[in-house]
Amino acid sequence: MNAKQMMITSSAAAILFVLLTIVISKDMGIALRTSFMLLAIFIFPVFLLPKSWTLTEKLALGPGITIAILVLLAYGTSTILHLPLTPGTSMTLVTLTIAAVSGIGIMLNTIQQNKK
Amino acid sequence: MDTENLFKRVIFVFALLILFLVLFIPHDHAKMPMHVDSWIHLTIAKEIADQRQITDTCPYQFMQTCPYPHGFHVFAALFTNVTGFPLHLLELLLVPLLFVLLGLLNFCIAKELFESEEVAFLSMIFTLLVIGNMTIIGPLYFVPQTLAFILLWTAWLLFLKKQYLLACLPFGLIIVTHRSTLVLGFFLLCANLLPLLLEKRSIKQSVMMSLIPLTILGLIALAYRKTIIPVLQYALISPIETPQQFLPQMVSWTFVVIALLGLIAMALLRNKVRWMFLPLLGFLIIDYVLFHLTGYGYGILYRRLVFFIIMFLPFMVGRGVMLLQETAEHLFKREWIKTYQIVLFVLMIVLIPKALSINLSTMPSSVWVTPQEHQLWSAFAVQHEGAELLTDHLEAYALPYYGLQPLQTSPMHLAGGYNDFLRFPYYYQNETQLIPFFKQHPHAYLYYSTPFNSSAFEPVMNRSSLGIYRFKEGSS
Repeated sequence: MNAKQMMITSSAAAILFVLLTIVISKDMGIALRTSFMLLAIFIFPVFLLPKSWTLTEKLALGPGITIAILVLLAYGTSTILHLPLTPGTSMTLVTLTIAAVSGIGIMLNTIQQNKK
Repeated sequence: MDTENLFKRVIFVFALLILFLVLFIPHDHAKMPMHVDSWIHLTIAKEIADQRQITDTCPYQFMQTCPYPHGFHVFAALFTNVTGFPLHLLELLLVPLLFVLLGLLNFCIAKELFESEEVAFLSMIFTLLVIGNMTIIGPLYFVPQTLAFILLWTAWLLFLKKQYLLACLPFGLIIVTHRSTLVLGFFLLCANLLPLLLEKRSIKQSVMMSLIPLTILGLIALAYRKTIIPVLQYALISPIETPQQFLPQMVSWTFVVIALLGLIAMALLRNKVRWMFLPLLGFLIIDYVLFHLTGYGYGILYRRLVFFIIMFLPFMVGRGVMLLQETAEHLFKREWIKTYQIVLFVLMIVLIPKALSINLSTMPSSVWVTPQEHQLWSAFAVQHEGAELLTDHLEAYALPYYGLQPLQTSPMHLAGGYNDFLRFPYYYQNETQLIPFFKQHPHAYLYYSTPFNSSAFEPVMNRSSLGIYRFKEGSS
């Protein structure tokens, strides 16, 4: 799948997520923020995980890896750093999680290339 | 995507859509969490979101420390913190999405194990057999087990893809998410290490690879030793639990027979799967049979055991259906049977609707708290924060979510404070027994979803037939 196809897929997913969350929450602001969160969990990892994995594998593995990093970071933030889990901290953790997933993808791609 | 042509892609997306809708439609109809356990965990998540830290206390009247690990609650709290999405609606949003994800994971795992797209697709669509009912608090509800299984399957797939270090991430989170899933995780890890150790050429590499995750897991286990010890007490040294439901009654004899055929196919035909599945499933099935024969289990609580077997059912049924196609090809030796996979096609037409009907038949037809009750209790809680409210003993578990205190709680849900006296007087609206109780609790309120006429109680808040009542002081 090339970059153009990925853009189309993620845009379609974003629209579906917005529609779904509007139907459930009946609030546009909440729907947009929720769609971003759902994209971060379900779709962004597709762009970030190693190229050698198939799209189905990225879709299947991405959310589990993202949720694991996010919650473990939150655990560390609350129990080790003793920082409050405010909406701001939570948003920072989501951003850090996306960066971490991206880092994992780059690292695995590099390992793959070195093997070749 | 590996599927080669448009038709296959359309079928693939259609199958995912079925998985989504089969859970979305009932949840959308209910509008509220569908099980009392969901309320328990949403309340803990709300406590974490409100306190803005991971606390060990439980927002229930009779619990001092929380008996559950907090991974799931932290995830729900973070989600609502970032999005502002109401926690009680998270079940409607996330449960169908996580079910689709489970289907995708089943597809990828089956593809790794069986190296067949057909079996992988069948394993994905027969995710429909992963049902939920009173004893199997599974993917139907928004509970820790739902997230824990997604994490376990993610770790398993990563392990199969030889991404051992990365597999530690989801596995590490299971430790702080769900205890009995962690027990299955250890069994699954051992089952996956076995074939690696049996490959003679890679023994050194396999031992090294298995040491890395085990060491990291050991370190995490040390860090969370408070969680690990209850795990051992709760699951490995299991109390006797009488079998409540018979597997064939839950998923029908048809699927049990096909699953056993799949198990035979795994035992006879594939070495990689044989050494991975047979010891694990053999242990689970022998334990299951022993439960039924003797009433005793060895290692896993009965209701968890049934759920674990059901989680592996899609793989067994998928392989079983494929075995029937392969057998037909072998017996009849007709080219068209092989080319058009006619047996597979017919079986799919018959079995997929059957699996769908089994899934739908296990859906609960009612919810503990209706949207109208949600509105009434929310409005009441604004004016009477922290008030004591007498409700049905299962509805009571939703009350802490609204900042209200239950006066009776379910005997089935760990609380030591179940007030046995209140149960029948409440159900039968028996004033002669309710009045002495309310004399002792003059500031408590009474809730009924049906009309309640009494000279001793006056309505405080009403919404159609729903009402919250106050005891009139001086009534006798």
